[in-house]
Amino acid sequence: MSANGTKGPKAGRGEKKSAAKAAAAESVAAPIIAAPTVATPTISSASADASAAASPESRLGDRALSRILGIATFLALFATQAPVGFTRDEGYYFSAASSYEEWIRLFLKAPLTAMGAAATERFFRINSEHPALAKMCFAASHLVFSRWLGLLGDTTAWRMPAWVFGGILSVCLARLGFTRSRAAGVLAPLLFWCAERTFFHGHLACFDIPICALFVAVALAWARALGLVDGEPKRPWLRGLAFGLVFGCALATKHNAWFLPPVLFIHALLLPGALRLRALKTLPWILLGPVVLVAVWPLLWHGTLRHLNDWISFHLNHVHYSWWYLGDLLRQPPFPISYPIALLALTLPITTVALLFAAALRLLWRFARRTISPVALLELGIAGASLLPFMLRTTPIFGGIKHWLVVPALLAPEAGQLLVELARDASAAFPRLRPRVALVLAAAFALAPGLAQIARVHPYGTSAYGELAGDEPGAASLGMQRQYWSGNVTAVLPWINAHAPMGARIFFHEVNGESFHAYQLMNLLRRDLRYAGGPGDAEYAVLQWHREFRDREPETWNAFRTTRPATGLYLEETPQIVVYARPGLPGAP
Amino acid sequence: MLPLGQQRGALAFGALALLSIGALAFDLTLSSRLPSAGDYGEAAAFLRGHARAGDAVQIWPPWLEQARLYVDVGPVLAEEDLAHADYVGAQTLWLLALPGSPHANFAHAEEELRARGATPQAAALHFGPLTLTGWDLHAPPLASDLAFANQPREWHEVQYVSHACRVMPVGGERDPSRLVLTGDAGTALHLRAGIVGERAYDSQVTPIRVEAFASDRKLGEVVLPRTVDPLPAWLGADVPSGASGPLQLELRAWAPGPFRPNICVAAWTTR
Repeated sequence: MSANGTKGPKAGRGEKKSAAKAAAAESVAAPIIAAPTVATPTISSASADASAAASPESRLGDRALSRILGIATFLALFATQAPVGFTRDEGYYFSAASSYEEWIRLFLKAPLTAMGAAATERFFRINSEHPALAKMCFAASHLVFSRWLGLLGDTTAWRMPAWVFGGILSVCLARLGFTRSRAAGVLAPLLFWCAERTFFHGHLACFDIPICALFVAVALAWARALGLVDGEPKRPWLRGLAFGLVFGCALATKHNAWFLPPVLFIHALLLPGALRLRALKTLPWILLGPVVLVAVWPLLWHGTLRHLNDWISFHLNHVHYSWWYLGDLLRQPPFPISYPIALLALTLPITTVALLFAAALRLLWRFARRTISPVALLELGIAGASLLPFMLRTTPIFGGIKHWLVVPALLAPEAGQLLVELARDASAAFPRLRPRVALVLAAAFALAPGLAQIARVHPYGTSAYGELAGDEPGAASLGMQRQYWSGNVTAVLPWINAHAPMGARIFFHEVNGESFHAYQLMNLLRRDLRYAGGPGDAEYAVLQWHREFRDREPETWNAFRTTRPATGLYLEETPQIVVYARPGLPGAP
Repeated sequence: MLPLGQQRGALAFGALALLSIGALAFDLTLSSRLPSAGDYGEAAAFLRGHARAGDAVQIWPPWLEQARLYVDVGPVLAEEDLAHADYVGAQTLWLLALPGSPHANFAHAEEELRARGATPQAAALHFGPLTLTGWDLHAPPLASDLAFANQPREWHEVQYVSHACRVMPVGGERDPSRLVLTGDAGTALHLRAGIVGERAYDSQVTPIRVEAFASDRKLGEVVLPRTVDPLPAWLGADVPSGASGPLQLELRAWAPGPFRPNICVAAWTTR
């Protein structure tokens, strides 16, 4: 038995039954979710099983392997980032990071001045609706790798910390997977990343992957603090401290982290006796969270309550954007309760959907039967908590699956283990199919559609749909949001550069001024071209196809006196970016 | 004999393999089921040679808008409700379609055309995966496109579909906004109107009346309520024009409430 109650490669049915009997007896005594097949009904047995599953050598090997997976993730994101367009939100975060960088430079020169209210208000007022940690990372990266060392371009330097968070996510997923089996640890990050939506978000200087990584990191840190991972802590306070700091980082990245304390508290209550006690003793370390939040967000150093109030108010009164979903343009609550789950099913590759769905069902089944392991319960709880707000029917739902990436992430370790078990059973059924070959085949079957999706759609990640939707053409017919954030515009920038006359005015529609300047900064767009406010004062119009912005196209037809586009990005035939040129100008039809 | 659990596992392995191979087959053959530039070019060339003045081209699914890059005859329309679309003045509607695309529901599009009395002129032509079918709309001949008799066509969005129509402000009951249109009276007047853009969905919208007068005689009216999907928002009236020869039509638009979004109107007469 491994630490989480999954069968080891040679565990027989008899072993399982006896373990179940023993643990069932234990669960009668404890009014909590205790796992009969779980190896951790008590602290002592937890550590014993953990030791059995992972000797010091193999633990070392697992750690090294998880780091390799993390580095591979970083490199994969680095290698494929160039064509990924600068999204609307990135434009704002680039601006914020520039401002924060100025503050860091001031801090290095005159720390007392930098820490004063005038400086913190001046440099951190921009994008004050989100905490500072991720943007501070973007800023520091730019300062070091672009300004000081000159190794990276501006936007590459801003984005690099996001890839580091992507690497951290892979490391944490692997570590959670290793509690089941070594193969599950390798498969967990692969299952998460082998889909264009998740892969795309990994590239951006935004908060979605960082907060996802930190949610998973909090889960891992909590599990380590309780001795559920890495065995019995020699210095429990050190792991408690690490847990508190990681939670603080999550809190300092995005407000979603406020959902974690109740989940961890409930998790603690559901644990078996001695483990519950340890969990309740560990929980107070969570109070470090607000300390870290304030420490890394200089805006809160002065007028703390006022700024906290502004932060909370912004999110409590967040606007609702229009969003196209199964033929309905959703504008305001109530939103469909099925929305987040349906969107996962329609956007991810079908094999990933099937495995994640099966993993969720198995975890729920084990929870209902009180046979779920503490680590799996933690994963299920945090995944559920990250999904739940979007099923309340009132939470703003714009942005596709990026807001609940934690769900596929924390189901991935269980899905990986499912694959391992399928391969083992197939090998048992067909003796000529060697276990390793069966595992490789299972992994290939699971990951191939996702890899194909990335090859087909990257870098246009917000437009990606899976086979259940019928890929992008099927999703267009179903009436699904075509794209968002304007990043797909990179496809037509070379055409604009080649055709637009010197100083031409371009209407870029959803591309905001910040992203426009970022494209010019990175020489993706000629610097003589000017930003037009609408088709009326533009010579070229670059329209992003959105159901809610369909008025812009006839407006352009009227202004340009033509209904024929000059070029466009048609992804698997579906219009994404449509470019119009005034008749007579270069490139006009 | 394998234990039941392992048998199930082996079956699930097989199911995963089938799912994966099926998904890959779907993904990797998708582009071969979509038209190439050459397919579009051939369809456009055919239309150039065979379409007559006044014909319209309807694309299906409505997102097949890449056709606009190639087709240079007639308006290329992306109507979503083919049973009720206007197709002003068109005798022949060319349906350029991609019937094999996922969830395209091509049969539904054909049913809608049949529901309005249209009949296919000949079997569909194939240009790669594209099909092109001429449909006889059996529409009465156009007498006058009143909205654009004296000015070039303009387009505006109503319920996310572009319509050729003229924008009108909306006045109050005592001071309605007015738009005067002239043309040949024909025998029937066709009036269409809709609220422009996202404001159509605003909860403050009160029913907007669009009344058509000729020589102070009311010929018909259209009432535009707040738009609620999926109920149609591009509404109309088809009434006798009540005269022969030249027609001077006055449209009056008013709403009782203070929230008065712009509307868009089209009007034409047929013989």
